[in-house]
Amino acid sequence: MIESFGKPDSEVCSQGFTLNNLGGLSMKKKWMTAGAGLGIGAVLLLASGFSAMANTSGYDAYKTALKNTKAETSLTTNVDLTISDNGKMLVTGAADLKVNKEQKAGSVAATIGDSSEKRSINVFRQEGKVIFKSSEEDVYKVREMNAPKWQRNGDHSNPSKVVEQVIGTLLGNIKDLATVEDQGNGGKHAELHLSGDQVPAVVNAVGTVVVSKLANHKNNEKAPDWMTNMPKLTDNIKVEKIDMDAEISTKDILEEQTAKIKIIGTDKSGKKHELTFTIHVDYSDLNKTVPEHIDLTGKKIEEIKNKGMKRGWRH
Amino acid sequence: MIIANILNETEKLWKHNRTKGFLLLAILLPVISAIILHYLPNNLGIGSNLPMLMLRLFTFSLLPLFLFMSASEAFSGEVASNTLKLGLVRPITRAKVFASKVAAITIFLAILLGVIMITTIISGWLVPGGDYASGLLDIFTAYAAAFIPLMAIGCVSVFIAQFFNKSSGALVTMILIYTAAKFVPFIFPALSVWSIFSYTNWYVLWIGNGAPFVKLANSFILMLSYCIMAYSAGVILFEKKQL
Amino acid sequence: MDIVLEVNAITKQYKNGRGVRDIRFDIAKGDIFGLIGPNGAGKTTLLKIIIGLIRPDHGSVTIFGNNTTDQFEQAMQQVGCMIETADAYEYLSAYDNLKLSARFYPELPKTRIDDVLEQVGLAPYKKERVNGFSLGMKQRLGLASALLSKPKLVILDEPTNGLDIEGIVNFRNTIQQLARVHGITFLISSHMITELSLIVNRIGIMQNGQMIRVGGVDELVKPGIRLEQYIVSQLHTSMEGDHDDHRKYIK
Repeated sequence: MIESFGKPDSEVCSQGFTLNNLGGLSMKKKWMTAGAGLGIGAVLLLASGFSAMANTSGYDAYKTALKNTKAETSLTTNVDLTISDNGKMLVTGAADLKVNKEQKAGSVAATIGDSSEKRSINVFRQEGKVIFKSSEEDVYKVREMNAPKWQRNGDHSNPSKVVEQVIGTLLGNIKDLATVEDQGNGGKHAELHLSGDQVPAVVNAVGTVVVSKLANHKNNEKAPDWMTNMPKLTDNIKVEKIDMDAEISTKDILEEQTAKIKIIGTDKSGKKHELTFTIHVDYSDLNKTVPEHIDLTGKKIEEIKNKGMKRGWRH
Repeated sequence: MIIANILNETEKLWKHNRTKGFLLLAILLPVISAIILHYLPNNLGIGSNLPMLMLRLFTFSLLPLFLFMSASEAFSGEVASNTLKLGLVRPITRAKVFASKVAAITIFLAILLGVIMITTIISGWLVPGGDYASGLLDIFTAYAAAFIPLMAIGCVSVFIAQFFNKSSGALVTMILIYTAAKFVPFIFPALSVWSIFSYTNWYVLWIGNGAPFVKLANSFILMLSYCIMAYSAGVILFEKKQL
Repeated sequence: MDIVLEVNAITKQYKNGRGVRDIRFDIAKGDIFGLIGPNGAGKTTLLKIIIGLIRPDHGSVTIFGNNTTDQFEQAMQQVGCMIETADAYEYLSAYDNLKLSARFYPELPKTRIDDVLEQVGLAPYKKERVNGFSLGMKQRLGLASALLSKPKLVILDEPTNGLDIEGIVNFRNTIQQLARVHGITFLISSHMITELSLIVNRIGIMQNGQMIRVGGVDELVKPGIRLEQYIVSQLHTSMEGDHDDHRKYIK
């Protein structure tokens, strides 16, 4: 078909084919470089990915311990809460929570107040009833057990799993700031310390709102003294520090945990305040907790409807 | 030659109104946010770290969007407008054309981050409580660290762009992938370790006391591996492109 | 005779059956080589393979002694080209478009962009954005872009598309002058041979992805016959030949 008018060039053409069969030397080098890049990249990805997965972070250690602790059939939880302003104690609160799932019983003894005034509340769960007793009144309020589904139903793993995943995802890389340390005795110490710019904007916003809400009780005459002592921060409110620490036992169960939140700001007069919220939680008597029991015979009783429960909490 | 083409690609990117628009947003958003926060009660408590707030916002949405748009325009868009060949018939290898396109996108990413950082610091002074002279180093570190995952996302976008001959198709695909990648960890948390898109706020690991070195190195290598793989695969596809 | 371009056994087959098959020819210094054939003959594909936009299945291309697969940069150093439609960055001015290209040739004097715009008659529009240009203006800008680097080999694909008569005459004059005075080699494809017949000294005729004739105009065309007539006759013979083959095959 082809009439060649030029010089015969079989030499050139065979050379052309040879070159092509080799793919060209520099071409080959190019593909090899790119291929090597892919290979090295893949190896690095697998190595770093798996090491990241294997590297149990403080967050994971804590999550596991929290789950295990919740799964215990009975335990006693002591909660201590303090709020201080510039080092001066404003509020202290304490609560003893005793839960026994097998006996379907529980009790809470809580006090809150400052050095001059204390209020307390007791809650008992027994024999299918919930009983409230506040230190303000001499009445035991009794309510038939009609708790919302999630409370009645012991198995609420599903919603909590969703919550856990959402929290985990929202925290994102902040999770990685949580560390875990072996204590030598087999126990672990997990911590997440956030300060300054590490504090997520959302937390900062929530902290600010909470602080201003707490101070709003000032105008409420009924409010107890310790609430009126709460400084009303108006400017430069900032969550400066969040320290969360947890001690985890050898059996991967929480022994105690502490959360300390420091919020700074200034009030109307321009005075600087440093509010510190400390919550300390202590777990004890695993599997041998017996909740307090109250004998109602001869005591003043008031039956309350479901709606009344909220009022009961508010005094 | 590669320098010549980096200049060319940078100039082209700059001459696009879109790039100027992003630059304008990088200046306006922090200023507007500062003004809004100024009038909110207690600045909602977030006025004090405007630079971090803006970094979060930009690394989550606008900067990835910029990368998606630039990558799809530089590759898919130039295929569609028949302009890709203008550079390819010059005395420069395809590998260098590819490298210079990636370099130009990276340069603008760095410029945008720099502009956002400076405007947030300046406009942050408008907000009472914006007292972070001591945190300047933290801010700088955070912005520098934020560059790395974005760079990797840029490489991945460039890789995806190779599959499209139209910038709109490439852009939509990238946005869909990004959105999906942001949602998947809610359902499969374990996957978030592997997804490059979940590292956009890894800069928090660098500020304050910071995360342990091993953790930082681990994440860095993971992002680096994404860069290397996406880049290599992108080059292969770009070399194979028949125009 | 210095060989500027060698095309060796180039084959590229597309899935739809089209492509080019076993193309071989060469172009010597100073040639104005016309690549002629009907639409769809494979001219653009061939030109794209020559300048590296398409990778061939087989064969190789050598420009100034440099293989385009292995030494692309060296091979393209002295090549200027305009392929398919004359596209440019629409959001840039004519001048800025050429400025981008000029960066690849640092040795060019600064006045070169203005000179080449003058040469193609676009000087008055140099500051205007390309998106307002007519097809003819884009074509001229494409030519300017191809000539910008003072290349020794210029490859043009359908360069007269969209040009008016004056533009075509100017174009021919420019090409002829560049070839005669500066010894620049041209490879020009067209499906409209009339425009080229006055200036080409060698031609290659393509049909159905194959090069059916290659040679000097003087060698191929007998005196007294016009180049167009010759080409049309060749295309016809070739088609009849195809038919004959086909019939034989059926028998």
